[in-house]
Amino acid sequence: MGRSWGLGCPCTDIKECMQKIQPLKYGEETCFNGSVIMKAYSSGLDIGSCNWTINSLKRSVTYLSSSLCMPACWKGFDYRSLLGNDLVIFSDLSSLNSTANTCTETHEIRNNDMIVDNDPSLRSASALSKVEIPHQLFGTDETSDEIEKISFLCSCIIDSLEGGGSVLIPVGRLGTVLLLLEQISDSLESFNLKVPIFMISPTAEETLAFVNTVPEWLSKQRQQKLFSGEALFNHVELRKVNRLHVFPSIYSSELLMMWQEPCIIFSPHWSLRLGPVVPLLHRWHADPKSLLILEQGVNVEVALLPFRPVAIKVLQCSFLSGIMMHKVEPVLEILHPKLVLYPEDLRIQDPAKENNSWSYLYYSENVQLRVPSFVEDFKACLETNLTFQLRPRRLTQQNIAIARLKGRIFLSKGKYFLAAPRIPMESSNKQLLYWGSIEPTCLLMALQERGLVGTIHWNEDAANSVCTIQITNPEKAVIETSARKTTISCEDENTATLIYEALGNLCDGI
Amino acid sequence: MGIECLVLGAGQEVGKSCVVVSMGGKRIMFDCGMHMGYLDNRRFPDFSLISKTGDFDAALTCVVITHFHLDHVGALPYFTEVCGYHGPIYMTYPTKALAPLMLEDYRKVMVDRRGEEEQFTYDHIMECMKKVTPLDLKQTVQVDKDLEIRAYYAGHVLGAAMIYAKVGESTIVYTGDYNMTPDRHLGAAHIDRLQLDLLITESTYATTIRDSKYAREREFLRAVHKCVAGGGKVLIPTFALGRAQELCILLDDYWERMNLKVPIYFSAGLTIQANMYYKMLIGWTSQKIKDTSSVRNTFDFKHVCPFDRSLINASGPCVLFATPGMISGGFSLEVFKQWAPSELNLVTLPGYCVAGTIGHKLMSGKPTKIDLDKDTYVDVRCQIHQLSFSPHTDAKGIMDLVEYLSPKHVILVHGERPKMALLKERIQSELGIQCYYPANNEKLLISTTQNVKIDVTKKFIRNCSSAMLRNVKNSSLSISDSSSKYTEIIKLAREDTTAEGILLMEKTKTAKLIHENELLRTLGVKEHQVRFAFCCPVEVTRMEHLSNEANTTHCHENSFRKVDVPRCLATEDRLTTANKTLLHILLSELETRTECKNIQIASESLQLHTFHVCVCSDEHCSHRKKENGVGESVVYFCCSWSPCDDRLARELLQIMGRLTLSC
Repeated sequence: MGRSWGLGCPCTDIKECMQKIQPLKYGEETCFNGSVIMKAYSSGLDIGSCNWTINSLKRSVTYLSSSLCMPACWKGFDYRSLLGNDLVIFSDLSSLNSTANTCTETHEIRNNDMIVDNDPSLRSASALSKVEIPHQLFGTDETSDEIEKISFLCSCIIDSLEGGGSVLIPVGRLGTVLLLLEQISDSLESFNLKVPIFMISPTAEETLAFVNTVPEWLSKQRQQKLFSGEALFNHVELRKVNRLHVFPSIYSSELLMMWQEPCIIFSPHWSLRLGPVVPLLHRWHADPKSLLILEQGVNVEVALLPFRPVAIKVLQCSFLSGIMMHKVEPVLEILHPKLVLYPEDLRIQDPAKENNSWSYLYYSENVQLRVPSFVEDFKACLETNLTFQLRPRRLTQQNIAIARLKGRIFLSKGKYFLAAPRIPMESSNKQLLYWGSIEPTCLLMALQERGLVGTIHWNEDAANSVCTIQITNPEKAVIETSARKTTISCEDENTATLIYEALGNLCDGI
Repeated sequence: MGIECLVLGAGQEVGKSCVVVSMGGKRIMFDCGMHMGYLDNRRFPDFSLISKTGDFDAALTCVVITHFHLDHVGALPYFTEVCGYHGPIYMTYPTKALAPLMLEDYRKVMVDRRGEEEQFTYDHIMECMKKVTPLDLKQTVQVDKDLEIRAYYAGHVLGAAMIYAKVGESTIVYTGDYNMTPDRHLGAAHIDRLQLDLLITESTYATTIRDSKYAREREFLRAVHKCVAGGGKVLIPTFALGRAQELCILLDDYWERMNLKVPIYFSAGLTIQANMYYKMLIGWTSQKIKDTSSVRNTFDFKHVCPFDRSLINASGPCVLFATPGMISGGFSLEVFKQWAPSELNLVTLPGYCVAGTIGHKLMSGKPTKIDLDKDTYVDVRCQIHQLSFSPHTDAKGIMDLVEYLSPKHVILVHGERPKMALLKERIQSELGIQCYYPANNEKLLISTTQNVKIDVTKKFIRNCSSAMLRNVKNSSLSISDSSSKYTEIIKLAREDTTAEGILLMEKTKTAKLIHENELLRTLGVKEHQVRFAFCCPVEVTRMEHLSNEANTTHCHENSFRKVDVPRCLATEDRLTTANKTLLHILLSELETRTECKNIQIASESLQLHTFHVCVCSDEHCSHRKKENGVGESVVYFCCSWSPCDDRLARELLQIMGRLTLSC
């Protein structure tokens, strides 16, 4: 395994890549560009697996991946923290893998008798196939199912060991391995079987040490162990009493010294093409007493091809790996989005009803989808210091006041802020934008109030009825005004200003 | 709007930290500590000040504990189990794991050894801890709809946190105890650059600037090494958590480097158990320890082994960690009695010992005899070494944090009054931030400003955002950069991007900020354009070879028209060419005189902002002053401008009036 990886992707590349990653805790805010805020919340599938909330200035999105409500080891599906977003991108594709048996639920333990040549010794698991699950979202049904499955597995393992066969468990999901390890060791104890458990993997040592130092990422029950002063996982204890042995490779001399059969081995890789499982399968493939445990998702027939003839018992089981189909709707009901992006591939099974408060859009691989926005305007915070600088002007015709606003705008943590400029800006009373029209006689009166004397000259024949006011005293000036435009022509600055002021009082403007 | 602060403990003193902060209708209690120096009712905060009726559930939104030291958590079981507070309690994972050890240890010491009446029982502690919600660092926790809290790394002890709390727009940070420099097993305090109304900070070392701790570590190691090399025994009385692990790492590391074989013992029970907690909580230690943890957990000490009582009188050198820290009783006292009489041995003392303990007696001078009670005494001939490691920040660290966060107000707690007064002066004078240090049971009201929430149209943002994005892009930083660099982006994004718009305030509606161009449409009105105009005469000196003859003739023949009016192409061409030449000459003159390079030249006009100039050939132009006759040597430039550029226009006109163009 190490070799093939080494060729494809050197260790330095992996390290370099990892350095570019910004690690986050569950519920930790991270902000991109000041405008997009992302938060991860536990999804329960595996250690650190998460769903995301993505809030930009325009959108609020929940990215929902495969989620488990009550996983045995890890923090469960934290759906409460995902509430209230407009858009849910539903990307839990776990039920795709089990389309064949959705009617009886995705998980069942089945023996592959076509491969093991109808080995009569293998127990039938049909009794365990799901019948009906009560329609409740976060009940204990899932957990009890999983426990039931695990205990069935354990009983199969005990049977094999008692019959003198070894058990090979290719490593898949970490949570499954840790759970199996605990349950199997408990079963061994209760049956008083002294069988060694080996874990053979170059990363096993580190992984086991790691999971015992991350209480924050574990389920409530595990965390309770921390608070009562116990190790988080029992493998710590198992190793102390020499019941679990960990080796980096199958060729360790210590392993050879300690080797005894029957034994239980956890080892990569679940594809049965890499790692210590390959030599071990070569050793046991023809042994009808031994047992191979595979997770669902592997094509058993293909996986076992290189190891023909196969006499080893094979038990394939599926553990929950996402939201069950019939729980999609209740989950969405809780999340209460406006729009759900749903995989086209799951559309046939889509449980959409008419009375949903949300609508669906279907996406498929490599096809761009335009998603409507729900936001008209942006939200912003107007800082107090800037509010004080505003000079609102009430408009004549409506119940509206308007004010020119000049300040700094900045983005911080996904929000716009408007603040007073650092250097006070020159504020002028001058209005720059006008609307409506000017009544020339009124303007003339206003001008007279300011001591300007002039006469009005109507020019009715012109197409847009321009009217001219000639100011003669104290300075000369000409004002041309029409419905949409007024031009003030005056060399003297003071007079021009006076005229402009008079105009400002007559006309709505800002 | 304001923030109300009620200091129930650690006001102008060290001990029983407890501050109740009210903001936006929420009330948070930060820390719930006990005072180790008192045995009467001054030991606990005066909770009656929170609620006269004793209905604490109604009076408080939540309680947040910063770390497991008793002066921060000691009164919690009393408050929840005896006073009857049942609301939410938050503390970090390590604090939740380790606080019960501290509480139980204290309870035992008080009840078993001093025979005191207990304030709370073991069951009280357990019941209390069950109600605690654990916090992870940096995780934003929504206590209720309006209140969110977040913990930041504080150093100090394992799991110590600074707490950020936000209600609406009001924000505060309560630091608890913190350390701005890393030590062997903990990192330095780390917090985001938050916008804060109030910072409540500890001030244990309000005026002290500490030197490097390496010198003091060396001194300690040398004393220990000298003692064991001489065949002596070293007794390190310590509390089970915190300093014990720090010193253990220090010694374990030193033993490794010096290849020493002398055993290091941990007194059984608590400390061994504590080490197991430390191993599980390694994620809360310093980066260095975290990085090496996959290879070897630092708390798997190589040279440290559990101590057996029978070893007290065994021969040969050794080092022993024993609780409690101030030799107030228990195992450390038992060992002290045996080892103190030999001058070969060494006893180390923590930096601070409460009066009445043996530790305190040993610190004051060098007694040769210590009375244990009326009848028994101990001959003290051993050497004494006082440790001076402190997990608290010094004055520089406090100033650095205050400056870094730049809150609007600072409250000092957990310090000594005269030193706090000095620090307050420094914060006010050097940083210009309002600072207070209220006494216990004092209430402080801090006024805050409230931002107004408004809507902003897309168009307005589009106009501003291009400028903002340019800023961010120039910084060439991306999300993958470390969080520290990320604050740079924020800073850049915060650079002055000027925004200009019009705020529309309608009764009963959220105010809306729009772009100027949107106003007329929004109001449903048509613009009334207002412009100033003046037809400005400019002197011209003619050079003979130029076609000005033609120009002027044409000027007379064709009254000035706008460009878009169709006319004879040939005439227009000649006309425009001549006008263009004039405009170009004017442009170069204006440029030299104004040193302005922004004047644009369009087909028939010069433009600077809204100021437009074009050659005017209409002798009846209404913008001309009538008395100026049309001389041969004068060309008219018709100028118009918007009122906003009036000042600029007037200046340009003055310049033009003085010009003599040579063609």
